[in-house]
Amino acid sequence: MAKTVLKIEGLKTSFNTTAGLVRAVDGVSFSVDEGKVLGIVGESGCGKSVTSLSVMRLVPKPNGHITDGKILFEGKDLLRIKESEMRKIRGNHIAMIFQEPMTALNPVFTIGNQIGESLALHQGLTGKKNVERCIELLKTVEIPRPDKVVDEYPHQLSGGMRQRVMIAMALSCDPKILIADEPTTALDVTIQAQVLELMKELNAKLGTATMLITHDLGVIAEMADDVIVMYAGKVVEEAPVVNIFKTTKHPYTLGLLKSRPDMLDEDEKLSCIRGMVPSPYNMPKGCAFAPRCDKRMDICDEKMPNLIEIEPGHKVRCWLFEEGGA
Amino acid sequence: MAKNLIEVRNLKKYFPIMGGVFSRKVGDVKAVDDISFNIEEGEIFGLVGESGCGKSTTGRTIIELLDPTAGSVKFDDKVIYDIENNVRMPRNELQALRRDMQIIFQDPYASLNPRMNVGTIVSEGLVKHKIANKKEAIEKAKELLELCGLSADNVVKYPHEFSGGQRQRIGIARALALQPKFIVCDEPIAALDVSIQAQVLTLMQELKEKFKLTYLFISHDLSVIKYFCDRIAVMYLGSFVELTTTKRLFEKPLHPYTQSLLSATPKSDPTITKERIILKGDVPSPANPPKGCKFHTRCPQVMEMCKTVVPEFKEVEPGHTVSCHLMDLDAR
Amino acid sequence: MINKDENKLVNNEQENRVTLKGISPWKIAFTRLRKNKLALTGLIVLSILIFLAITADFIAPHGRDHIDLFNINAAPSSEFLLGTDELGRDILSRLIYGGQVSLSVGLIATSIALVIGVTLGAIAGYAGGLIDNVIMRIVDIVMCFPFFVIAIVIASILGPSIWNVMFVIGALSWTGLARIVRAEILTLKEKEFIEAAKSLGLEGHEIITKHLLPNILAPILVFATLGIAGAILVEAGLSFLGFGVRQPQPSWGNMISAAQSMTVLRLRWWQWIPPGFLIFITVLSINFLGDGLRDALDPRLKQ
Repeated sequence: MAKTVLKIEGLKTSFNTTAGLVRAVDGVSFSVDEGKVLGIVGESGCGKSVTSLSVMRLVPKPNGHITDGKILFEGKDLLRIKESEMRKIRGNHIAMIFQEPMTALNPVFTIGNQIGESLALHQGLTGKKNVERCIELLKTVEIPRPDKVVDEYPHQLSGGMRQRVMIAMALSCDPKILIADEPTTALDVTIQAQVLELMKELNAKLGTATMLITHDLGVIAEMADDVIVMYAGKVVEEAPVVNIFKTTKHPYTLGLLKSRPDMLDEDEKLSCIRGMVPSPYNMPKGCAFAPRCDKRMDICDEKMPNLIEIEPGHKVRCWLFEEGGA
Repeated sequence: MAKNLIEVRNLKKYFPIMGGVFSRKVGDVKAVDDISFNIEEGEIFGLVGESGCGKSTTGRTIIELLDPTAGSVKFDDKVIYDIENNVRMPRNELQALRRDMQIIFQDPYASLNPRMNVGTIVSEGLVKHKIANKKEAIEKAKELLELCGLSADNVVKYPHEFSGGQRQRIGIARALALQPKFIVCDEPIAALDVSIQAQVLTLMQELKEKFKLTYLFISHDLSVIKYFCDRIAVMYLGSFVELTTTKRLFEKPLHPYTQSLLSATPKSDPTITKERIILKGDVPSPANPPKGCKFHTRCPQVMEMCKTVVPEFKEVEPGHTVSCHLMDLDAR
Repeated sequence: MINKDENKLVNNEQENRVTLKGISPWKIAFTRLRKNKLALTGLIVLSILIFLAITADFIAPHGRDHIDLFNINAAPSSEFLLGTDELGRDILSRLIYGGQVSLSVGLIATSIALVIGVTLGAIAGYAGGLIDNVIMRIVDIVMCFPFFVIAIVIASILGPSIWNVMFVIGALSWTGLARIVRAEILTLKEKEFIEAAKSLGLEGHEIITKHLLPNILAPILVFATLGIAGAILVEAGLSFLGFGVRQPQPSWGNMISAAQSMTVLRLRWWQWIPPGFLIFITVLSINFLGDGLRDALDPRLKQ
């Protein structure tokens, strides 16, 4: 049994806006094991990115607040430590890759400067050693001509190369956890294939626990060991990747799968989920998915179902599977 | 066989690169470089390729939103332009023909004028072409909105009050208002959430049946193209590399680029293991494309002749056109 | 707690009702502007000044040019609330009439600048190429003119008068606006809704007036407000130097010019502080309003 690196319990993050309080993440719990890839999938606004920002304690201030829950990193609650301590963990033990490789890199510094910065900060590497380590890292992420690229600026690199640099930066301090927020969304298919391949190799080689956040079920099928499906700030289904695709339980997950043309059988019609995600200011009283659900029952409008384990490792939040529902 | 609604011959679109002190032309970005194809009436013609391959430029140049550099386009047997023979459709005729060719855009946030209400947006074309007066046009706009799955009250609202999927529906309603024959769909679902993508795609399918539309469907997403289109052209650096029916393309892709593109799409099932052709390197710049076959810098099956000789785009079997030197080898 | 929730419900309902009417971006901007205290104060002060200027004939305690030879250089008293000038004219009345001049110079000069700047900027931005080049070179040339020197030269050729002041200011201050309009149009015309308009068959002038201009009204409006303030200051400056509005017609600028004399400056504060203060207050209010408008109309600041 692999060691659990990160354990999140009942995380709640909300935002104060002029139109009211938005509960972006509403009681999310999960854990990530060493060497495993946990995929978090959901549509925009479901709270998947806020979850990852909460783990890094980077929820935008002053409007965003983590109101409740625990984030246990190797047994230590990250919500109870000082900001200065958190800074040592951030980038060092927990690293992050962002969606947009162009905006995540500072255009006025060379690639070497940017990778070297965290090396100097967290590992005290300076001077020649720093540069050597940078080149080594660039080699790890399979960038051609690493000794040249070190002195280049972000705009001289293509999108795929930039994303590789981001990965190199994230890996620079041998993190225990890698959080990848839509790492390939901005890339072309052939480049996406390259980057995913690289991430898989690195995961196998370095054994870093990975949180992979994406809206693309294809990427999930490709990369993840376990999957969490989020909807309106809550986990609606949690299972090993095969179960998510093969023995799908929650109607939302099923709807997502059936919305993708490549998940269909020959000549099967696209079936789509009706309507849209409810407004965060005006959440339904019961199950948030009820207004769009084909299998809606009366109880769904009244009470939020609980996340219950129906098979070992397979949890689902739906009245279809909970006592008192059907 | 259905008749050709659109005939494109040797279409080229170059964007000049300005440089130097007096901003003189120093080169060209060959966004579209000599492509020819037909779109049959009632067909959904898919155009697939990676970003920067010129697929959007192709769509816009065909309906003359962009000025072509060379080539000719015929729409419904009328010549829109034929640069080599110096033929251009007169302005007023072209304005009138615009009714028949419409476009749906990728970015639902940039494609609607934020200062206009939805009724005005949808009815603008009707008023312009004097098909209806203002009042009738608004009524028509209401109908169109309902057809596209929005409630008629929405005519008084402004774009910022809608979500991405709803805005895309408004964009579709606007394109439909003039009852066009042909619609260029430029990545219409790429910016939307998965569940909304399916909704919009289904809507577009219904509308096609209902109004007997012809689509040019531009996308980077092979799975969507596969589901939606009848014939597909694969584009790389401004040129077609392969053109055939959807069925043929997915059963038996012939061009190495098509093959790698197909294998690069993420698998749909975690249990299957997929043989991957991972391409090396990045797409070269269209300002300075490689000599010979444009794909040779990344091609896993590159040969000596690929580096110098441009392969011909020719039919290897009925209805299946490929541009690759490997095809000649097989023939021998 | 319960109360709060109820409030929220009510709010939601209200929101829904408003939504049915459709909230135009202008409406949002106006709501935002209303929340901006400083801008609102500016607006109120300006409204009062404009009201006074319009109703000057009824409000002014004395005639504009009425000379009271018994009260020359009189200090403020119950009859002359702000005293009199060296000809025995009531300062307060002249201030109120002077407002007419200053405000109308501001408005009309800015309107002239608006017409020239928006037209040329829009044509340059939309047409591009040679036309753009020619127009922008003209802008560069006009921008090279030393403003005050040219203004003084023209004023002395044409003779000092309120119309000449308006014309000079308008003809020299449109360049900044032309640049702003051109730049905004350059970015806007790449937007997809412009392509959509083209594909609907709209012609160039229709696209400019229906799609482009409404979308750059915000920067134009901000420029215009701030431009009015600038024009008022220039008018004051020219009049102070004697090239602007001619006596006996009062303007705040030529009233301050009394302060050119050392005796006035030292002993008769009522002859130059009030007009100075009014110029200051007007320009400050306009600038507050302009800044408020800029914030309110900025699409990047959501809610």
